[in-house]
Amino acid sequence: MNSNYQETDILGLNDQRLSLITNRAALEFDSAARGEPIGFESSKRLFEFIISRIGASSSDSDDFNPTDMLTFGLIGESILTIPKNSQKTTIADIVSEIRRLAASLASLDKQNDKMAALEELRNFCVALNRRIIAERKAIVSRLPSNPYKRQICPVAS
Amino acid sequence: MSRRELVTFTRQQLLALLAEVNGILGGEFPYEHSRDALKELKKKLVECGDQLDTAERSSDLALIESTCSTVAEEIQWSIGYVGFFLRSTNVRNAFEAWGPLLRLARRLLRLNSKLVISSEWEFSPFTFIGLSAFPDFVFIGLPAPESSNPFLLPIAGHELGHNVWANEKLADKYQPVILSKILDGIRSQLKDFCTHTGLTVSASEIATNMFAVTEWLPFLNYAIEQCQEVFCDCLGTRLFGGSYICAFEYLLAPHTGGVRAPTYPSDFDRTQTIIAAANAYNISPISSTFANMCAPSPSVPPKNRDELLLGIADAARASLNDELVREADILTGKAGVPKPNDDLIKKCLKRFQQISPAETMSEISEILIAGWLSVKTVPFYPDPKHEEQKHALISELVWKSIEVFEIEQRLK
Repeated sequence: MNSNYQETDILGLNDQRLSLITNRAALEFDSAARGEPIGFESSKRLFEFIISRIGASSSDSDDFNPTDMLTFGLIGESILTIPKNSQKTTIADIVSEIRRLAASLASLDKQNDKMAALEELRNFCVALNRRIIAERKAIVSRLPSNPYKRQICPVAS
Repeated sequence: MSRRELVTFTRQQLLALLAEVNGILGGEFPYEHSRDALKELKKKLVECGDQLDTAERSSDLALIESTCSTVAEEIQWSIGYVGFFLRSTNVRNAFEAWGPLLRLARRLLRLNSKLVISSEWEFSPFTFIGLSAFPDFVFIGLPAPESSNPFLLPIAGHELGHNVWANEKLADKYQPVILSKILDGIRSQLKDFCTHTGLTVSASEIATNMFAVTEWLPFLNYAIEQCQEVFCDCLGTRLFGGSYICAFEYLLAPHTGGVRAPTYPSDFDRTQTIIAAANAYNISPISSTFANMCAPSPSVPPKNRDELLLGIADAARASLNDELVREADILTGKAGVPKPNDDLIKKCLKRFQQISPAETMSEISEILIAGWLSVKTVPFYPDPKHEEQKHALISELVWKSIEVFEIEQRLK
């Protein structure tokens, strides 16, 4: 899905575009599953961002170094909300799951059950999107009126 | 609510906001950057409409709901930005300061930076951060009743600091070291951590067990946010010298304490770090009362998980204070922004005593420092009549001097 809001680096958890991009990625997987493909631009960008933030460039499951634990934590929490993942309790488990999903995206055309793969990727993106929005609501509760507004003091003293 | 109704309602909300944006775009703007920002926002809202159209064709209810939530969230935040851009056109704003602050932003950030100065009906200056959708824009808001008060302008240094923090990706730079300090802090109080969280984890599992991670993760965020605030205070001090300290004291006064937000250091910690930064930069704080305006919080053992982990986050941030003081100095120096020139401040003070605006200043900070020095010096004017009207008189002289400064800069 084309978007001029994808031109600069994603800043991480606090990046306003993260919820939009996860939603666009979910829509891309869903559209492909419906036989109306609109490309995978946002999906690829999202997974590139995720992989860079967990420092898991190779497929070796022991080789990872989360450079951004805040974003990693958010992704991990959303993976845990998917019922089949409830037994995953370590960071290594989460990294393996992220790698598996990224590999699934990279090899979509070679998969025997492409439909199942697309739906799984869509469901992950929906879970991540929900987690991001929930996190922002938590930020709102700490900084009333707007999570992107930073005041010099949290309340007038 | 039916799926169809959900999408319809969300679309109507989006169209209502877009109609408002179009209406405002048809109005007059004192400078184009507000209009440019509004146009960027409009593009984003149009894309949200495309997302709703795509979602409507899906049969997956979770995806439709998630798309509507995403668009609703965008609408919710965007309303605030639209109001901000609209208020930036109001004549109450300090248009005189726009040029000098834009030049400062362009040195600190990038050559094509755009600036919108506006106001808010809240008693606190602010900026918007995390808006990577507006990568070239800096937004600075002042409290509406104070938006024509030149003595508060130095606070713009703090708000610019948030943009420098994002631009230099300082959160990414400092996160690993803060994380390491937080993990060390938890390991040193492992028994208390297990008691307050109800978890049974070993020292090594603190960093690898997802349930342990989710306990301390928000506090890692708090420590990073606190570092950002400290950095912004240091940058404000480095850019505007003692005038930043006086403006900050004005905002905090009268300091009555109250509940503290975990994303900010305590006011006591902030005042002490600002004074340490002023000393490191060899800058006069001007105010003799600022350092003692806040009392430290009494030290008591943590009673629950939040108090334990916030104490650890505070300690992690405090251990980086000196580094953040240096970081602000290095980045400001690299941007080519000199420290305020003492000779020019003296020259400006002399002009103010002659009830005349100053000329040939090198930075806007020299005018603002001279302004605060004039106000803080009692008596400043030998004539009691002038002394009585000093605040209004100096305020006017500061604005006129900024106008002169702007003309001189344009002629360069």
